[in-house]
Amino acid sequence: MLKSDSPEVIRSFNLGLVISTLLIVLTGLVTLYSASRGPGLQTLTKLQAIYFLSGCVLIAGIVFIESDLLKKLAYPTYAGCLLLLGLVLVVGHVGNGSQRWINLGFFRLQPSEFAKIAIILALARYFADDKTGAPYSLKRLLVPAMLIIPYFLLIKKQPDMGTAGIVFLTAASMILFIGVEWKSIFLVLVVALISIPLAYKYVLHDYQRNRVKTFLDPTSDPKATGYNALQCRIAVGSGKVLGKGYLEGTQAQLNFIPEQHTDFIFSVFAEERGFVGALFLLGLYASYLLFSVRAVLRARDKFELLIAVGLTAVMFWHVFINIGMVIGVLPIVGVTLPFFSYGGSSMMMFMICTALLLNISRKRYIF
Amino acid sequence: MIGREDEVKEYRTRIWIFQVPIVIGFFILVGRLFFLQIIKGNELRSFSEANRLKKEKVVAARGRIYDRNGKVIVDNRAAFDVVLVSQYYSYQEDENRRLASALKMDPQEFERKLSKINRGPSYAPGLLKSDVSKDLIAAIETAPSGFLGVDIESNVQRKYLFGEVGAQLLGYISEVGKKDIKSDPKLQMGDFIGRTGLERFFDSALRGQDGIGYVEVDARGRRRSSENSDKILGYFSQTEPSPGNSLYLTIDIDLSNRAFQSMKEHEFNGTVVALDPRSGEVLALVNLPSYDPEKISGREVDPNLWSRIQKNPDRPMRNRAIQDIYMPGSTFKTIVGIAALAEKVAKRSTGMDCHGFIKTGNHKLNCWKTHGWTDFVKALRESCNVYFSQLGAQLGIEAIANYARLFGFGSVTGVLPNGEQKGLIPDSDWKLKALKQEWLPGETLSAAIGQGFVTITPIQLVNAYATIANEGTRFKPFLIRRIERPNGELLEEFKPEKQADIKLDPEVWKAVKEGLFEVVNRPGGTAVVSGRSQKTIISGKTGTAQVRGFSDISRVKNCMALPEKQRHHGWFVGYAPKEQPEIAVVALAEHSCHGSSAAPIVRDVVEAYFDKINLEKGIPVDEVTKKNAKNSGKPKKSIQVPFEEMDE
Repeated sequence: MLKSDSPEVIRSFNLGLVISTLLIVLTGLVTLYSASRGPGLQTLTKLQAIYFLSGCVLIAGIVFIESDLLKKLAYPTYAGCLLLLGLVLVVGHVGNGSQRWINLGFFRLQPSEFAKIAIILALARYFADDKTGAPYSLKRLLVPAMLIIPYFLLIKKQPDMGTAGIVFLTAASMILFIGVEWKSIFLVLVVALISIPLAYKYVLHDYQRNRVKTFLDPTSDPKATGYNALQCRIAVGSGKVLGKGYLEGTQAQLNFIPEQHTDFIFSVFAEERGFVGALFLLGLYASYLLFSVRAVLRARDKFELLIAVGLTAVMFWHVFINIGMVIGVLPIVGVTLPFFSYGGSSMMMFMICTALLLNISRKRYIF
Repeated sequence: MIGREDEVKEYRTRIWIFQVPIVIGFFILVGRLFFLQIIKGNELRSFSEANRLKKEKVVAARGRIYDRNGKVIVDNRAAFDVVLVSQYYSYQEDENRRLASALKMDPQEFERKLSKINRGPSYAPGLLKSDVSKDLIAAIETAPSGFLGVDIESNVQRKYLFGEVGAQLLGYISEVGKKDIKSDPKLQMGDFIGRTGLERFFDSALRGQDGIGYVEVDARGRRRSSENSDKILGYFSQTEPSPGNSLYLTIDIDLSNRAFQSMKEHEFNGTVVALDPRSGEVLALVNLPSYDPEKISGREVDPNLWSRIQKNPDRPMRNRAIQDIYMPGSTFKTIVGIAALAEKVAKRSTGMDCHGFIKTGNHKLNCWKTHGWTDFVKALRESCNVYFSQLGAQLGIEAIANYARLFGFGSVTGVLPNGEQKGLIPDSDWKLKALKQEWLPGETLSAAIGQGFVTITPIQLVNAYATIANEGTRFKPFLIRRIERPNGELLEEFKPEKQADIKLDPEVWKAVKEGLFEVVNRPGGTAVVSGRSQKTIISGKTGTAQVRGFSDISRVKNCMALPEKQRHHGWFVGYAPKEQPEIAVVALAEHSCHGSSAAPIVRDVVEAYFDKINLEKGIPVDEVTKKNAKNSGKPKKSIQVPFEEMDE
């Protein structure tokens, strides 16, 4: 099995992932420029580029980190992130109606972004250490659940339903991947079906309920609660096949779309680049996911494999939920589009994802 | 390491299954994009093209209301409201507290409004606080870290420059409700319409035509600031709004103000109406208690204030001058006197001996004092019940009623299109129809002194005395001189309108006018102390109107001992000067017991009228006083205060 010849090492660098990432980032910066021409936003593209470049330097170390060290760091990372999530509720900066950021002076850190990676590391560590093996019963999933629940609740408290949902979906994807008894899956599904109406009534905030209502019946009052959703759909649809042209998207340029440089940036892109551009961007994300699946296949052990699965899941859920809500197949939640949406924490998080995937891809066959 | 290889081997095959949901997810996205961009592309493209410019109503300024001298009475001013757009507001506890304190709002009221806005459509701006000060706007706009979802809207607020003066006549405006829109589909939410008074009757003239404008808006429906973009078209209107027309009233607002203040100084509720007898122009019309229409004409009305106004038993919104009926009391004797002279039932010299009461069958009617030998002029001067009920008995109720109608009683004057009361001039037909009873002779005695079934409105009364002042020419009282377009072009002009010309022997007018002159200017007159002016010669008549339901005549003497709400109303109605009268005034002082209580108010108004005219002519006030003091005989000081005057 020893194949230490150099061509294999280079091939295992997973160049495809790097190229996909670079193309998405570039497309993102160009789109961000168009989306941030409004008053007070013009510097955002430059800032986003700086985030990316400084991120490249900061995460370079992650690519070469040893698997054992990563394993050792998994639980401390989890604990540190838990601490930050608690801290943000106490001293956090309030913006757009929620308390998500810790102000570091030069940078507003959003701990919930990094929580996604921390939960992946912690779960990967737990399942890697657990030698009893799959499939898991509900009882045996108690400890993983104890890892997930504090994160979920703290993020929900901010409130940030989108990120809390991503944490949950990512963790669930990893657990399903590891293997769960059919009996348990069935039981969870039944409980979920019963509790969803109750959660809708008692757990969600009013604005969240409105979003769900709008999503379920957008024609009920197109000018009321569905305003954002409708404007986004108009933006995307009006792009038609080839788009209105770069910087020509009226919906975007006239600020009909709120948060168009963050959560709704895909609508700007789709308006100006049309169906062809949207397919191109989806292709880039698909290729990113393809190369991240390659990382899964190259994983050396269960720990690495589960990390790669978790990172693939995070990426997929972000892309699916963000674009899904913009084009109206999902209700509106605050989830960023990887490498596209403006925001340092989000950018940094996905760069760490990529770095970890590169790390896992790199090491196969090298001992 | 080989063991580890085995550890992951089984999962490598599983990854292919897990790619299935990813592929499905991407297919959903591509499918939806295909639907939106290819299938619905054209439709949504046209949507997006319409989207840049938001159609907006451009509110037309409501017309101004001026007084007869061109003084602005009702105007508009800019007002700023703080609104909240639900979908951008966090509804967080901290933010609520911060915003409430920035707006200086009571936390409970804030909560109430917030939950109301939250229940409404989330895109529509909901009103948090209306008509805020500039300082507060500055505080909101410069607040550190700002308030997301909070916006300032500019608005127009109706401004009533004289506050409570004439409020019931001018009326107030308010935002339309669903009911209004149902009855007039041309109205839209956010429109304001007149609710009472002139604001209501001349609503269509005052309201003007709203324009339609297009405004470039952002996704939050807010106007984009014109800085920062070369693409900005800014605000432009397609159809210009045309402001409402101006109303020029016959009212002299200074005179109204004097009437109002005089009533206030004397602490009476009631009404004062002044007319120009030569044309029927209403010079002043005030009611007390009153309210400030500005406070209830905004987008938001303080519910406490509203219920205070509505629940006030003294009915501050009532236009007593035209909406309320009262017994005329002794003021009606003048009409009976005219009828008697005209029908030759009596002459000026006809004398009678007043023993202090009169009996018809078992109906006994008291006089308020024993007058002794009384002729026509003395009977008017000293308001003898016995004399006029005798004349009434000789005339019969039909003749009294006919003359009363000639002077405008029993039907609306037409001063306003509707809402006016008619009052009642009873006769035997009426009683048969309404009460299914025969007319009793004793009832004629009561009617002849303005009691029993007779009811009138204050505006009818003053118009009747204006007719006497004119010696028979009765004009329709009117309030609007002209309506002008905003550019000053005349739209409509209102001319004096003669309603009746009562042809009588000049001697009749002379005798009646002499009686009315002596009421105020000769010893024994019922208003000689309270109504006499040093500046001009006022002629008039006092009267006491019993409060309905408490008309026990035997208690008249103890009027002041009655609970306030059961005391009689005091009337004074008259005109000035003696020759060629220019102004007729009525004052009703509710629950004042005596007609003489109302006389000083009439005097104040008349004097204010002549002061103003003399000021315009440049005649010093002192000279006028001296001249009139000489004409009207003895100086005021030497006149004995008859105690009777206080007890009529």
